[in-house]
Amino acid sequence: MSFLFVQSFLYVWKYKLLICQELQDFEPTSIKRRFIPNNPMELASLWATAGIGSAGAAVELTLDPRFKYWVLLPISVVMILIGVLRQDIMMNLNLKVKTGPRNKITEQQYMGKTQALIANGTNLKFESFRDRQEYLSQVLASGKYVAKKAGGDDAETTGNPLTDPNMSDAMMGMAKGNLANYIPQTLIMWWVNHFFAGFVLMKLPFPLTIKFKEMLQSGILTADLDPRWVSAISWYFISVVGLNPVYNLLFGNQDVDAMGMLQQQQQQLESMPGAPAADGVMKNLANDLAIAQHESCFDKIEQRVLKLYA
Amino acid sequence: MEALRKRFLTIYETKFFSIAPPNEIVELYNELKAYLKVVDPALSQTDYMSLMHMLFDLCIYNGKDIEAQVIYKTLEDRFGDNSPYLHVMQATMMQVNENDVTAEKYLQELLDRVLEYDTDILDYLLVSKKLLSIRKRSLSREKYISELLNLSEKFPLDGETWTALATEYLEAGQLDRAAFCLEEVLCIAPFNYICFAQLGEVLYYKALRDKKGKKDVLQDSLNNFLRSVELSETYLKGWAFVAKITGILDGKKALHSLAKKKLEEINQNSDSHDHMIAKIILDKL
Repeated sequence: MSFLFVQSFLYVWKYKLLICQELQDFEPTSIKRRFIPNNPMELASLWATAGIGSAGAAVELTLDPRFKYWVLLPISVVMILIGVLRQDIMMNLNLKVKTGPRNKITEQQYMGKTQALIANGTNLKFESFRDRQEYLSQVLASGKYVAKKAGGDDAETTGNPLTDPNMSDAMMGMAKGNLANYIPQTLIMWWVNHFFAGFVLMKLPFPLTIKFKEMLQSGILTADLDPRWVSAISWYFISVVGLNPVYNLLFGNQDVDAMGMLQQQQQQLESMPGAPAADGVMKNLANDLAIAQHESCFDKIEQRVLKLYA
Repeated sequence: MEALRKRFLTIYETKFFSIAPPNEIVELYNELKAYLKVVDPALSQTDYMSLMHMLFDLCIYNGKDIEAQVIYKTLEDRFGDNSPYLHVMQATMMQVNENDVTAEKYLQELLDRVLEYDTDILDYLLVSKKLLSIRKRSLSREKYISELLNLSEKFPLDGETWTALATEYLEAGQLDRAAFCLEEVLCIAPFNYICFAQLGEVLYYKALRDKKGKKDVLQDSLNNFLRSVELSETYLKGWAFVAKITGILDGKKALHSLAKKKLEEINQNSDSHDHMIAKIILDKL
């Protein structure tokens, strides 16, 4: 993958040199040869457009087809390769399994149990729900399962995030994730801006209003150019936003799901800086549970089954 | 290939191989081994590792100790030895190569010295369950239940522990406690129709045993069976108990005939096992 990246970079650099060489041999006739169509029919169309141009429309351009192969395609390919590289980096950064003391997991499990009872209490008859409701509300409010530190203090006293290894780990994790996003994007943006500044790459096949000019023609200071023309830097921005479906196709959903589940499980152990204290959360959950209304799935079950299958 | 992959992954997720009859275990072992030899391009790395784990268990069941050791070493090379499943596999290999006492000692030390202070969400639980499964033979029922209760207090969201407790209480004849444990499972897994049926069954036995409030308990039992068949239309056990209980309770003729109709359908359309059982139940009704 790195080899492909370097190769595409070298190709583009070579082409940049060619363009510079051509600009040095600047002649008005060469410009004409590049932008004015040879075909008489296209010329007629150009005149027609120019006629309308007086009423506000832009002049039709003809692009060198080599732009597609040496600018549009390399930018797209590099963006996809960088996306793949970023995915690999993120996978490796997230591989570390979060661990903690067992009593911290127990604390999280009781919070989960309360939420499960609120959500799935409909599966129980009223008496069973009420017994659990009373017991759990009491236990959570008393703080019986709040994790204690080895010294016996409550674990959730707010400490200095820079001295707590768990918190600094969480902060480093966030910082690494952000850097893995920002650094490649900054590098590619520099690359596109440096080599392809002011390039017009393609024309969209559908009409657009003048509002799209800012979005699609970044780096081109022409007031009259049709909004359908797309500049290199704009193509970069469009690729940043629009490549997610391609990544989904490349990486498949199963691994993403598996990673997502793993992260979700690990998230329970992470204590993010500034997160509310566990005993406070438990008391809130105890209140939520105490006022939860019970509605049983067994109400009118006979009628439901008869209606479903009879 | 896709159908095979899905089948193996479903068997792994449901752990069906742990309760399958011996001939099916041998068949599954051979099929899985052949499948893993042919490289399936659509099999993700995670799924491949899961199937390797299942192959390890099947090797143990089939007495292929050397092959199991090779799989264990392969997974150890890939993940290192500090991994939840590898702790359990190592204990299994100790049971195979040495004895239960060594494995028990290893797991107990791991729990006390390491996992109590530094564990992920799976490790402590898996190692504790493995330790309990080894100890089960040497512990009395009371002691075993007490160990299970300790574990369920530490991990109240683990359905397996609650199910094991329910089974123990049921065998000990403590039906109310068994029902309580099954209700805990239903709070964790709200669409578990098998658990609804198990709860209904426990309540049915309670109604047969205790004469006091028999009708109410039978109604509760019927409700649970109805919920199980609402979730799974072809669940034989659910319909069988619906037919039985509606035959006892008054004013349930419509449900009784519906249950009989469904049993007839299962008798006609299901596989040989369900067909045979449905036929016997229909004859008895």
